[in-house]
Amino acid sequence: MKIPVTVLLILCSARSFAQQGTWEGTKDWKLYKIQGNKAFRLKQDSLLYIESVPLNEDSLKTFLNSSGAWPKEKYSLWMGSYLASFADSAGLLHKVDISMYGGFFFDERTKTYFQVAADMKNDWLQFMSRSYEKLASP
Amino acid sequence: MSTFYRLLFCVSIFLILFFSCKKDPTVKNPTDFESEAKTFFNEHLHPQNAIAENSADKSTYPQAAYGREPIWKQARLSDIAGRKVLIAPLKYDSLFYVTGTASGKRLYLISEVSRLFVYQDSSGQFHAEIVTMVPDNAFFSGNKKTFSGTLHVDAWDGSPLHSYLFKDGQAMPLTRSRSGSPAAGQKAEDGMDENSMALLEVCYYFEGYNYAPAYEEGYSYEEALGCTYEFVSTGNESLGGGSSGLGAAGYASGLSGGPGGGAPVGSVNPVTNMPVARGDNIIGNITDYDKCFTNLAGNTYSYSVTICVDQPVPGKRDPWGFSVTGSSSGENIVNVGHTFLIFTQTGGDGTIQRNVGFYPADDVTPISPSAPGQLNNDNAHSYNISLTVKLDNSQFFNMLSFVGGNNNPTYNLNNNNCTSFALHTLEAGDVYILSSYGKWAGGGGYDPGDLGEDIRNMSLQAGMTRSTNDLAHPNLGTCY
Repeated sequence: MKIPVTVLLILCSARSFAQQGTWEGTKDWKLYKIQGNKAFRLKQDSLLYIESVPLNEDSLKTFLNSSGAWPKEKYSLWMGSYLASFADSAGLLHKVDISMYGGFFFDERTKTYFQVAADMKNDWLQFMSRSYEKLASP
Repeated sequence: MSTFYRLLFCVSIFLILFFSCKKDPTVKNPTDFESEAKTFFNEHLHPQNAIAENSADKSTYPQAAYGREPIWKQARLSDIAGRKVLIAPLKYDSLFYVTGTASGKRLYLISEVSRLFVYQDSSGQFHAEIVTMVPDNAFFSGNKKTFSGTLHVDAWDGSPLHSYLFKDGQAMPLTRSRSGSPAAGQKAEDGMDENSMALLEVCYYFEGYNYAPAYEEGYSYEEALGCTYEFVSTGNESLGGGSSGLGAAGYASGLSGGPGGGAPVGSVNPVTNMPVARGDNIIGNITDYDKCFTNLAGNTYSYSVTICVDQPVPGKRDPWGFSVTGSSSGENIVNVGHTFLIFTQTGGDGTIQRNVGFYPADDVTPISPSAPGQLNNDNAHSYNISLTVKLDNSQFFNMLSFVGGNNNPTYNLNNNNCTSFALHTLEAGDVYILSSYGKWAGGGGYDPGDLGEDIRNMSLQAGMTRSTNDLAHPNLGTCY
């Protein structure tokens, strides 16, 4: 009984999250010191062991609120990525891959692509790049 | 009678003064030693790396690339392991920070944590060594009286001599390897008792960042010191002296404080923010982005380009990696990797460095392989293999012209992607790298997977350097 309930909660959370596209209830956004191939393969429960920095949520939500979800069949090729995570309003952890070039990102829990508004893409990429530099500096 | 006592008193005073003034021929006057030590240094070593030379980029070792010299008037003599040692603080011609992986985000100003040690060994040979301490987290969380961290001993030319890990009041030698290869760890493992079992392996790096305030620029470097193993209690190097110079305890005592040359370890004030020249991520104006480079023939500047490859599956030719195995993301993640370039000019006023990569401005797939192109600053992008090629000024600027002249062409996954852009840029400077074509559903072309393996297997020509170290590669240098 416990497993189906958990699955139901996850599905409800994922569904409502993806459909509504609202980011206001999300919190604890973090950016991790890992990129690309290693980041894709990292299990969600291993995030605890990766060095991270909190992302400025005021700035972040300005970008996120401009974003929209892609249709399920749409995807893109990855040429470098940052790894982030957040907790949704139900407290569930989401692992997020963020493209280094296209302004799109991928929520691994909901398996949904999002893309920030075109006129905010440059600022979004710069925001991510500078946030990552805080991690990359020794 | 009184005359007798008066005479005895005078004779006693004379004898006392006579013998107290007589020199012991076996012990040198400290002043003589100090003079000899300075003479040795000034005659044999000082011409190298003197500040007046501003000898950036002349040294094999990054630590010694910039000018520095001892501050003799603040030097002091110390007795370490039965030897007299002249210890002097150093003046550097630029701010220079060091840190270690166990130091958290603390950065130490090199002049605060380094000292010059000059001493004679048992055969009378003089040695001049730079001793640098890098306190770790435990030092700052503890009482700051017992040193905890790493201590590095380098020759004046920067070549590494000894390194030690100080932890819980104990000192262990570290095996040093500049290449960052696993050779150091393997060496330690080879020397182990067969019955030994590694419980914990901790690898240390000595990271430096050179910052020149006059130019708001700098460069970073990283040196692998090797790894320590919990079961290696004493290592293979004597800690008391002998072949280890002054020994771990000796070097540490020389840095333990006191006036003049002593480094007051407890008062070292680390900084936490390293100055890094930043740039916009998407390069809006490539001409402006590259304007700090100076096109000058001759030896004033040296030029190089580094082609960096982030293979989708490191060490394999796969043109892309489906992250199905072991991934929680499934088939929605198709990683094709990336190739980008780093242009570097050194000499003159310092180092100018710019990262450039070519991307689609929008999403692309094999079914929809084209999109407008854009040039990005890839200074935060990781890679797993690279090739650096030394260039003359005309080669370098022909490449920059190609990059600038091709600003925002159409990106095509098959015939004008990031890898073909990088290869064509090199060709503009007469640097040709034969790379295999990859094939994928709907097309094929140059790809990071094949290029990475081609670089790994190629015979290097003169002026080429291959690396598998993913070191920091920030943009460096500003101009107006």
